Amino acid sequence: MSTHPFITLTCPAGIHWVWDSGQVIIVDEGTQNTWHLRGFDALAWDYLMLGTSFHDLVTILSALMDLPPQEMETRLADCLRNWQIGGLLQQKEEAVHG
Amino acid sequence: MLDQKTVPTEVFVIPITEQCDLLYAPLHQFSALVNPQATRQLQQTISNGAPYAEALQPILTSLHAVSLAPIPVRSGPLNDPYFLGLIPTRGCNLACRYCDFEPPEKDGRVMSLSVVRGAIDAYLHLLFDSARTRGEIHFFGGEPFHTRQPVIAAVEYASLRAAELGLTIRFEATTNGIYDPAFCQWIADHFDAVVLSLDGPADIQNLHRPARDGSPSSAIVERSAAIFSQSNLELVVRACISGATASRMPEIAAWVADNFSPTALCFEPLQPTLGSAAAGLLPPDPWDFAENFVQACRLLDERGIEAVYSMADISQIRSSFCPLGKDALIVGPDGMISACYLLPSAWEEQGLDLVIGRLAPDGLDLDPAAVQRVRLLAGREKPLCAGCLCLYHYAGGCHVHHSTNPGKYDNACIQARTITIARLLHGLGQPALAAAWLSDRPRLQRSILQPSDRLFQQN
Repeated sequence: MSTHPFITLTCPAGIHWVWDSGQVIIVDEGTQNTWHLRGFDALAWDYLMLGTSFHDLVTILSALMDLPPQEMETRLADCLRNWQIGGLLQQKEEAVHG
Repeated sequence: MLDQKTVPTEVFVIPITEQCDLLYAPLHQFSALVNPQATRQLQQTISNGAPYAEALQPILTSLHAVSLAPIPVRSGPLNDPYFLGLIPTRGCNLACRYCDFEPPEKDGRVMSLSVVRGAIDAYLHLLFDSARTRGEIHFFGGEPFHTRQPVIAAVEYASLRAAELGLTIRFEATTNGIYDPAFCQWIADHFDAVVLSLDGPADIQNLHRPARDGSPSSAIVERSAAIFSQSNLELVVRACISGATASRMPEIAAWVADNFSPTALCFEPLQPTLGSAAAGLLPPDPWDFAENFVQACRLLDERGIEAVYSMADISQIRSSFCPLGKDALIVGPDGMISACYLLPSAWEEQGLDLVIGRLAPDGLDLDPAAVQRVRLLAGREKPLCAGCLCLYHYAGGCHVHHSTNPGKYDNACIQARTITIARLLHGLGQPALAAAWLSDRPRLQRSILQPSDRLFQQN
């Protein structure tokens, strides 16, 4: 039996965001910190907020950006890590046995 | 003294009443109401310099002023595209009773991400190389959002690449409104304009446009209309009008104005198909359609909403009613590039070939001969339209579905002509005259069915 951990990332309470003129503006209601995501970061965030899985996002963005999937996976993982560190995302861990 | 060398030829006259003619010169952006004696005097003065009453001087001055030129046929390489059209799929999640598109099980092709990327890269580089700063990407179907991945990818990728090139892209879609609220909000956030098909209140919408399983669609579409109304995008509601709903056009206009916030409400008469015939849906009587459109227009005008009948747009001069002839690049699911967003079978049935190229690995592979053939098609002679005041607006209508061979004015012509004239009368501050004219069917028909509107007959 093996365990595959699936990680679900969500926005913490108090994080609000809007898409405006090609950029994502994120506001932390509690700290009043703001972030402006543009370009690749905005694209990745937008896809994630539509509920796109990490795996699908790697596939889609590899095809669109013409990058090898492994390189795209690393780039996206860095994005997600930075957003978690910055408090824009938090994780819920679920274990699936299969 | 008038310059006899600048004789205005594109002048049209329509008898409105026994005492009153409408004079219209579209290339001079001029219209006037004159009595029949003045019409005769204008003919004689312009054609052979006969003396004229002083009261006609302003009209003659306007008609002899420099005019707009008819739109010339384009030539040379295609480097200034009208817009990029993307057809992500021909599939759809509704079973509209008047639709002539194949069901998705017959054509399930979906645009791949490589076609999305290739089309957008090629289009953006065309804009960049032509020193343009703005572009437009339009989505068609079927229902373009029926498969979300290509549309989302196209919008996200085009936004990213456009920003890198210093370009601004406007996104527009023609859609049926069938999606969940979260995705509807995504559309509202990312698109600049949406043409939403909504035929009217629930009884009309559900009769005309049921889901594939026969269930009603009105609640979902109305929810989407409400979300779009609360957003910043330009919402155009498009209502298809059948024989049974023509008399309800003012009611539909009021209902849309009361419940949503569109910038425009576009009425389109039902085009007969096998499906519509089987469902017992008939096209509207053209006279009823025109009269009710004008009533709806008055109501919408009071609410700050534009009433649109696309065949009677007098705001611009054009040689083609549609994207055809304007170098639009419309990419199908398989990467074929054509000048028209209709099904290829539709134009092939008319003996037309509107394919202009294909998407290749290194960009657009356009056939220059095909591009020019399509341009010439748009600018061809249209015998049916030669004497019609709508020549420079309706411009013969749909190149696929509307014949402009010699003959009698058909329903589309009657609608276009009637609404155009009514609009001109309103523009001259004569709504009462327009209403009286519209309600006098014999007089209306004499105006509309005259074989030529030209003040001067062409040789």
